[in-house]
Amino acid sequence: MISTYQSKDIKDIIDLGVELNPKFKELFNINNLPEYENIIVYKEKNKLVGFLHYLNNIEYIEIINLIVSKEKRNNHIASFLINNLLENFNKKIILEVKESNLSAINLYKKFSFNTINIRKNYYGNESGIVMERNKDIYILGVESSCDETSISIVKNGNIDIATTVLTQIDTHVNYGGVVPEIASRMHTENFTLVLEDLFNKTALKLEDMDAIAVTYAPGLLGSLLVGLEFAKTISFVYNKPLIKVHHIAGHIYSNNLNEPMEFPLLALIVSGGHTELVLIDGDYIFNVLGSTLDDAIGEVYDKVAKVLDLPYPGGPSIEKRALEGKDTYKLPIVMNNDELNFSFSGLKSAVINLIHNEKQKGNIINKNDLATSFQKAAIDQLVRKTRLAIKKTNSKRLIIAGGVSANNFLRAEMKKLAEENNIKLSIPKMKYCTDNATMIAAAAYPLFLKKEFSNYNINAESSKRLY
Amino acid sequence: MLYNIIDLEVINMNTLFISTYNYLITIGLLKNNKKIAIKEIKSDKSHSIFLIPSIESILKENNLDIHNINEIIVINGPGSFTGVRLGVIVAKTLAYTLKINIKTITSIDALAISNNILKRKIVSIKDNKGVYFAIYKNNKNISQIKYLSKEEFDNNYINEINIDNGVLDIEKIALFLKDFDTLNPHNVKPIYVKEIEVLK
Repeated sequence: MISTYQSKDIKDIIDLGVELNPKFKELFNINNLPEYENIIVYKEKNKLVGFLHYLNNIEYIEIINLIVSKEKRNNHIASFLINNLLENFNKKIILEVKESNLSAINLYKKFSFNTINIRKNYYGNESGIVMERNKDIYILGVESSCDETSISIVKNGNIDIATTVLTQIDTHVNYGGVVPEIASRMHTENFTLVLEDLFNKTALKLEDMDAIAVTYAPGLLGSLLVGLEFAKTISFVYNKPLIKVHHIAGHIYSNNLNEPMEFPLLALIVSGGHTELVLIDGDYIFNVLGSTLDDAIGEVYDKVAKVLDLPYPGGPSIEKRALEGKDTYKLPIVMNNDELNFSFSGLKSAVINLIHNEKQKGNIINKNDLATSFQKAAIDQLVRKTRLAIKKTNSKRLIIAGGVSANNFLRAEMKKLAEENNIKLSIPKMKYCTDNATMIAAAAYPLFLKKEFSNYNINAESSKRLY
Repeated sequence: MLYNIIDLEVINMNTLFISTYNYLITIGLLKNNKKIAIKEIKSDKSHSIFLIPSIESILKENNLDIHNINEIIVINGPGSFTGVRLGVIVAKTLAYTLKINIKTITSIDALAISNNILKRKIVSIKDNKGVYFAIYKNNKNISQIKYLSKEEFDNNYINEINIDNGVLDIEKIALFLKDFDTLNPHNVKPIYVKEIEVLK
């Protein structure tokens, strides 16, 4: 049981302290602590077995003593005490530990403490290690670039605390695609409801946020504007910095929600508007190696779905049909060269011509088989070009990003490619492949650290490129 | 007696007025329904660039903080679809986060009230293709708000007295709304009137 100490605990605290440090009683005036010092105690069956003594400054907490009785070590009692401190204070924490106390140092490292200073021979012939843990950073993400209204809270750029995504797909499916005016209207009606739903999922409050991040580009202008204005208003009311985030950066940084990306890495960006191979050398340092010369991969899926008379959205429709079919139709191998660019219009035309010719011959198209053949040809081009880029750049890490990374066939093929080349692969979790605000908050984190904040006079941009 | 002091204390009602239905952004401040400031910003390019900065500056110029505001009045259309949406999303988000009252008024009603209409007159707002309008008498809307092409409007209403001066009197508007119930911010939404192609 963890609690704040009471006067009846003082004797036990001193006894336990003296057990480890004979001078404990003289060094720390436990009997008469100043009001800015406090002690959290851990008891088992009413017996005090550990305590954490800290000093609460305005700017930071200093851990003065963290002591667990010898017979109760390795029972995670120290971890429970540190966790309790973290739950009660979101502040920087500093402490000092003997260099020989490796188990303590490792424990602090587990709690994200870093060494910031070494006090030479602080303990006679032994040095003291000064360690620091920065406060947790909570970023509220806002996304409305297309037909999803989403808000999310992300901790330290990689932990999804809570996310709400309200999709409008059921409405737009009636029109065979997203109707921009309807999307903007629904965002306007739903944003405060999504906000309420989000904060019903967490004990955190808007006041606890360190910044407000919002997608400002690219996407449907009217939809982007509603989200941007909503985010500006929250930033203004709570006096939190505003961070503008590019939607594609969001897709890239959704990989941080698996584990933080290590650079340099090769990225394959695949979505309705993008098909690119990008070498990423560090946070927001992009070198485009190749991109599509015509249609984007997501676009060509939608167009082929349309000519096959499959329901919107095209990607999942084709994927579903392809699972039922066999690769029987012969389609051209496009861009079989040493370039890193892509092209899909030839493949699209081939599918359209094939349907036309078969119809003229009076043959019935097997939609499942054609979906299979098309998907195989399209994904094969992505795999070929990615393999070539790995070779050319000698990359050791590969990430996939963008809406099309939800395609299971692509995911499986990329896993094979990674194994074949013995490189580390990261693909976003399924729920982060479609549009969401979690990835926007994650992508805002490096910008927060660099203090790249925006003024309230920023505008939405429907077709601005990231790189 | 001590508790009478509370009765004597003047409780100030600070109202923020927001209008974004046309090319102008109009931001007003009222104290107990008396105008203390008004700002009009021409914003041909994008309301988003000017809206929050205008609210921020009008508050600062009058030594107020957004947390001193306890009521929002917003014009919720009809007019420019995007313009109206931005005013409405800001207004409802302010009301929701600050937990304060919010009231809406249509652009046409707001213009009618500003112009004090006793005898039958038409109040109208033009956009690039047509006219939003309604008919008023004794300061009451006696028709629904409609949208017609310029041609249709002229054919039908050419002989009526038409108020299309676009002048907003925020004091008259605030007084008119004084006894109206505050709305749930979640339920505040724009009025579009004009149908869009896909929904026809």
